[in-house]
Amino acid sequence: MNEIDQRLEQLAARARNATAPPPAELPFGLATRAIASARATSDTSALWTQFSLAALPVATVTTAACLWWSASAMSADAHDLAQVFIQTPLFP
Amino acid sequence: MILTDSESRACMAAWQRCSDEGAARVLVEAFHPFVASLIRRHVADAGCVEDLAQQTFTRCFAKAEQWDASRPLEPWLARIAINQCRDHYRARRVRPELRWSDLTEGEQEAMEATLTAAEPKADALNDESRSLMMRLLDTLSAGDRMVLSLLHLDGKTTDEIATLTGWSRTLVKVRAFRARRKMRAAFEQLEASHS
Repeated sequence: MNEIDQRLEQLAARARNATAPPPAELPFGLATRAIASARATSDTSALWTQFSLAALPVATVTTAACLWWSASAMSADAHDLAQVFIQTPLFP
Repeated sequence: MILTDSESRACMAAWQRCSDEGAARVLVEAFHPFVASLIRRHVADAGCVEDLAQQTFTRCFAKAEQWDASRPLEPWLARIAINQCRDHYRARRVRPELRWSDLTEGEQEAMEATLTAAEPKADALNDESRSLMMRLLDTLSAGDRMVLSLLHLDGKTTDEIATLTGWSRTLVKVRAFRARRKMRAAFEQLEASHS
């Protein structure tokens, strides 16, 4: 341990022995404020959860519809492409 | 008001189950001295203690479902309080450097006593030494400050700090090493600005 570390350690040791502040009085209304604030936080998160759960079936149906539409469009495209190949003579 | 471990668990369980306001009030009354003294040890500004204590209890009640009923409430509450203190310092700008002229008369005395290793005189300067230590910690980032504050001012072990902060033991050790190096630089800078 170098000199600076020793000094810092001495300083910390003295700081640990500093007078402990008197026990804090419970501020008036702190419990009420904390409970109200916690309830407000919980209400917001509950509302968000409710919204998310309600939106889940809608999102699922929309995703399924998009997939079905995109798959059918792709198969139609593939059919058209195949027709073009069949009708195009290989050695004109 | 002092609650036994089983009483505090019962109160928290009542809040978890049906948001029992009476149980929550009992918990605030019982744990406020513990939470307030913990915050006071880590936050220099006494005006912030009430706000941070309120935020600690708010978070405790809002996140009650995360509390493991098989464990005592006090360490969980301590962890929330420590995180609130860290967030408090994270929101504040770090003081880039500390100079001799920034110190109060008492802090200058404590610094001189530290530099000259004048033990008998220095022992009478415990409060000033604490204030000086807080000033040096102000030059560090929130995380570094918290780890050194827990280590040097609270005398906590690496394991205890890991439990309180939720960090791994290795991270605590690495952070403490780097933070100590930064504080040493701040101390040297302060010493240089005096001489």
